[in-house]
Amino acid sequence: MLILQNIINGLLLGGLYASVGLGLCLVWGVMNMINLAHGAFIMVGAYVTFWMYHIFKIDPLFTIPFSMAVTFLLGFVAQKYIINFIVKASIFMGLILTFGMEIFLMNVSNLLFSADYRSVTPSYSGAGISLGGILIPYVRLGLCFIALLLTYLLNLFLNKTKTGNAIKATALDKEAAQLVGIHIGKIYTITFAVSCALAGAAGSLIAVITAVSPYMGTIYTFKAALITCLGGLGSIPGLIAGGMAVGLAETLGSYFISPGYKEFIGFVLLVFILILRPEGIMGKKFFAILKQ
Amino acid sequence: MKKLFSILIAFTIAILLVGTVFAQDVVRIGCSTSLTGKLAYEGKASKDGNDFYVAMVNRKGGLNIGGKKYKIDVKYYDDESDVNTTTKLVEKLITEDKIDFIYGPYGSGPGFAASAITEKYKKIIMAMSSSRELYERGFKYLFTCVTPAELYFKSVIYCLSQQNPRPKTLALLFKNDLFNKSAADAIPGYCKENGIEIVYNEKFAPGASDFSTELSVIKAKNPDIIVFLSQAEQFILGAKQMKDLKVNPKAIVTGVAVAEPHLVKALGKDAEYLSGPTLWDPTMKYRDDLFGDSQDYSKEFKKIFGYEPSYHAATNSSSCQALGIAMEKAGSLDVERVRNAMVTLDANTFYGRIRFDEKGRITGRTAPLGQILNGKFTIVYPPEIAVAKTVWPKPAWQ
Repeated sequence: MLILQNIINGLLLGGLYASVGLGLCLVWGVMNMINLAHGAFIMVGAYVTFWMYHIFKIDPLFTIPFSMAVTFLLGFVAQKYIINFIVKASIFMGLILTFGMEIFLMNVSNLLFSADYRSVTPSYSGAGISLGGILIPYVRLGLCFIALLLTYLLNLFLNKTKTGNAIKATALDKEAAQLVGIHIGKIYTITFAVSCALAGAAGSLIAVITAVSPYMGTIYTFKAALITCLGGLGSIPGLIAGGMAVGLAETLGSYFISPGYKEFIGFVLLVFILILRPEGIMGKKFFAILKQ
Repeated sequence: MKKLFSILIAFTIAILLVGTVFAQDVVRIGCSTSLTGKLAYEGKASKDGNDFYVAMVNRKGGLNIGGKKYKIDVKYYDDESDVNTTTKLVEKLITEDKIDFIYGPYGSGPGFAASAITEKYKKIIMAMSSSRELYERGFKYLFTCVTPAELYFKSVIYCLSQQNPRPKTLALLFKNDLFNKSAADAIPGYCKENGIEIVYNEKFAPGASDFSTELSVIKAKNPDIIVFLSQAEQFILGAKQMKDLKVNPKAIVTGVAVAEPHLVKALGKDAEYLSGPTLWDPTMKYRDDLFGDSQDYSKEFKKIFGYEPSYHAATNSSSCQALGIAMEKAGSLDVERVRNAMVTLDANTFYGRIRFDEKGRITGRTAPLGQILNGKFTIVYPPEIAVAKTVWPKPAWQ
């Protein structure tokens, strides 16, 4: 019974991790850049939801489009006017620049909002379904559902729209994409902006679950990177698999071994999977190769 | 040309002399604390406590040391919540900025590191750290007004153990960092004293972002009391997950985070009936000539900083105040004279009676138990300072 509850806990946690990893996976797979500011954009989305709930009493679910819009705009501006300059440089420059962006965003938030911990606690928080003694909170279930929805929409966008196809082409082969008339700069800007919007959506959901503060995002960047590697670069469904794997590993690891080793188990799993399958659980080989 | 040059020299010398005649005597204090980073909230609260004391003292013309008036000047550095940065900055304050005394960084981890530096240079540090480990090193220049971490739950466990129906079991889950571990390690002892059995005792890593498994396991054991010990950030997540999983013990106890105003704002109605210790409360009745009583302290603080002070600020102000009193008592800024004054200090302040034991820790203090009642943290034990009755058992989550 307890095992079953913990498996459910793991799957629900996996849904959260998948939503966090979605944006990072997209940027990494397409632009070959690890966005260290990913967590900071999650934090921005969380604050948008918090302030809209706090000032206008809007339900957190309905604030998601707004937080996505704000982070989309921020990502758009950041990529077009800052990151664009170093896209052709080595991967190291991307790390340094996005790290700097993260520090900037976190400290501006600290100045504007102070480091007081906030959270969104709507009237339905804590309520849930009870299936034969197994508890499934509505908020966590909703989060999983939205993560799946976003994944489905992203998949649809990438496979069924012209821009999406252009993004996939760019990820596959930059030069060939340029040959067929795709403007790489525009593609990168759209990709980064969409990635930030996805981070913003994840942030909105996280604001309901846990504490919001300027420095909350860093841990989610690490988790997102872990899941992206595990699930496989270039594979969006792989991300769901990766998220679930880490979620289950952590909850069951905590149950069978010890709560203190939870994060450790996640990384051990990553090392194990990468030894067996370097491209991740569902990654495709050509996405995992680093371009010169 | 030669004449002009001589006039210029004479003028400069005159200005310098005049400057020294009217120069204000200043006590230079240094402080490296977490103004940004993970501990930014606590760091700022601490800094405001320091600044409040300094403002009140300087308003009265400064400290009276050896017949002269000294204003206090504090130089701050931001260690970004990183312990390595703390040590570098404290060393810089001592060797480059030539400060006289140090106000310690917030937290036991940073305090542990910073005090190693100050002891090396024989500078007095007022630590804002409660963990026992800091004070077991035999340091001579280390003092603190923060209640020892191992005493945080003495009153809490005792008070809850006397409730009706009597609790029999307790589950303990704590964050694995220096302070929380220090406080948690003492809890089994208090439980044994009061006839309570510990059915769960685990620690989680500082970066944990989910407690569903731990709380499910705890729920299955059905303890009377749950102690979830961490800073506010993890506790907010923990409390929400306890509600999600319908974990309903007779009491949910956390650390001093329960006394921080932002906890109630973050959890809203869900914060009701949460219990925990505090180091200071505006309802306390001690008085002194600088701040008045705790109500006066609170009011004046709010006027200057725009928010109600938590115990962080009060503990910091009290630490700075203890050092200030020692300087006046010693009549000098000489470190050995001030140290002797600290060792023999017996002062009554708005924070209570201040005396230090041979390890530099404040003695005679307990941590009263409070609960969040009607959206406000209220002291319920000990009876001498209680403002309300303990609510037991905690009503189930709504």
